[in-house]
Amino acid sequence: MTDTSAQDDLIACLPAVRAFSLSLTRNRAEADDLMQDTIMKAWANLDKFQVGTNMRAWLFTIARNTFYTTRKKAGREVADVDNIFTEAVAVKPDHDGRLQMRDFRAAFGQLSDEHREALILVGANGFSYDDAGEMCGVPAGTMKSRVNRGRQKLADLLDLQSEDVMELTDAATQSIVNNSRGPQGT
Amino acid sequence: MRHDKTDKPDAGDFINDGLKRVFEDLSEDDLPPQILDLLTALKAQDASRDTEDD
Repeated sequence: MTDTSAQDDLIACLPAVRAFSLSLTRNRAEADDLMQDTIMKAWANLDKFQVGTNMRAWLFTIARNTFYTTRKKAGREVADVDNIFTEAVAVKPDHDGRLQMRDFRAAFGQLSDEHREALILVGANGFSYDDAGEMCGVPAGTMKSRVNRGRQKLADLLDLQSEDVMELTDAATQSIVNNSRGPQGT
Repeated sequence: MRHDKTDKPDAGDFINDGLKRVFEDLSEDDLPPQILDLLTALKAQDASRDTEDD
């Protein structure tokens, strides 16, 4: 018998899966293809999904693995041809008018795949370093480093004061990031 | 693009807020028609299989 509650959970997560797919591919057509592949794989394996675990994390993991497998086969990186992050967007009014989302989106679109992915998972979706690391197949420390470097890169691109950018700044992490920053540092 | 120190929130908060809003913006698009068609087809397939099982 079909587990309709798991199906409902999956469907409820699709807007987030679409957003994650767009952030990975930066291309609407590719994001739609990626989403389609993700749904088909997930639907066929819903009986393997453990009830009580995180459906969104499971779907993101499938989407991510599918994306990098496809990317590897294609052997190329797709640019932001649809201007996903640079197009003119309806910027939501902010009470103090200080958040400049257009600049932010443009800067975000310039980050590497690894940094965009890390920031979307941890910064936007609130996954722990452990969970995000597991989803990406890297240790929590590596995920933390990617998040901090991504935040630092964003701060540099937006010309923000950087001393308070780090989310979790222990001495070891700060040292690693500082030592890695150079003309080619990401 | 410069954000003057006296004219901006804390940089960490600015980035946290920006990341959440970028993701929210990307989540607001309607699901594309081919995805809705796919879901309809998958549900119909399951319903057909359940009927056969009965």
